[in-house]
Amino acid sequence: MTTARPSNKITSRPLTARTLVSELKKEPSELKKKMLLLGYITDRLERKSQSVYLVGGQAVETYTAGQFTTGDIDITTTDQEATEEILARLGFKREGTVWINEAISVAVHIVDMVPKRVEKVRTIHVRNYAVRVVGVEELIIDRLAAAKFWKSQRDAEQAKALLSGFSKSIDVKYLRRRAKEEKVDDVLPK
Amino acid sequence: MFVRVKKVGPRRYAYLVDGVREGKRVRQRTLCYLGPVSKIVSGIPENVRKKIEERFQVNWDKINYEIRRIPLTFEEISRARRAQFAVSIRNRKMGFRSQGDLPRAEGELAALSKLAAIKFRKMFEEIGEREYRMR
Repeated sequence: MTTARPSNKITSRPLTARTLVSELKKEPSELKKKMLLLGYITDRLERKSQSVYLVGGQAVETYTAGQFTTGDIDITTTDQEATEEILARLGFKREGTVWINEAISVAVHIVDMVPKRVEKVRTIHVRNYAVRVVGVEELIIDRLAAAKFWKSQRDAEQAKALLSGFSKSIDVKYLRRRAKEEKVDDVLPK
Repeated sequence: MFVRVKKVGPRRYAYLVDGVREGKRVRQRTLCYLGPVSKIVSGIPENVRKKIEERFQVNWDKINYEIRRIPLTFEEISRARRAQFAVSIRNRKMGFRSQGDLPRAEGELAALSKLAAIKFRKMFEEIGEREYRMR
């Protein structure tokens, strides 16, 4: 009689902090490495009914599949203390407001304690994890604000690239309304 | 004196060369190495420039014009962007979200945006409304 052997695929079991770090060290794709890390943090926080969202430059990098790169991972979380605990368990060390893990060459920046707008959030599944990424619409508004008020040419370019890449799935009505609210409707490309 | 591009493996590198007459033939003589094409598109680094100027008299306007005329592959554009705009968290200051203010070549942003959209579709499979799976 044969008995079914339990699957020992790592992907079918939740990873421990140590296993995750060792997997991240081996991961050749920078973007996948960051997504796996975020997926793990999201998983740990959602178990406590808390959440974490990817925002800023890393969200742009994700939506452009690494075409517009950034340095650190900007996140917003509903529980900063728990997030920092998870980061520390993963070997991150605090440097000012940024958490750095030299072994995997990743820096995480908790930019805000409360996510501002989550209605247009997109979810990316990576292995058994889910990563919540700020909506493309919100990201465009954020970039346009930086372009208008900080005179940042690069942010203007990122807004254009996001608009062009997601033209079919963007909620245009929502985008226009938010642009008006944030006073960037005059720089929103037609 | 002009710029010559040599392909070594998957990457392309630029050299400063000149023509030397040997009887009836003109042979190209490599004077110095400039750097990978993806790196020098945003300008020859100052240290390389200084080293070259110690040995030769160079018309940089002509050399830069030739460098600008080198057609770039998508990979080279991508690599150039990475090198130019990688933001170091240690250097990040309030009000500065990204670095580099060099002007883009005509059509470059459109090409980058197109490439980004293609790469996103390749990398992420749409599995529902606002939901994707990373391949």
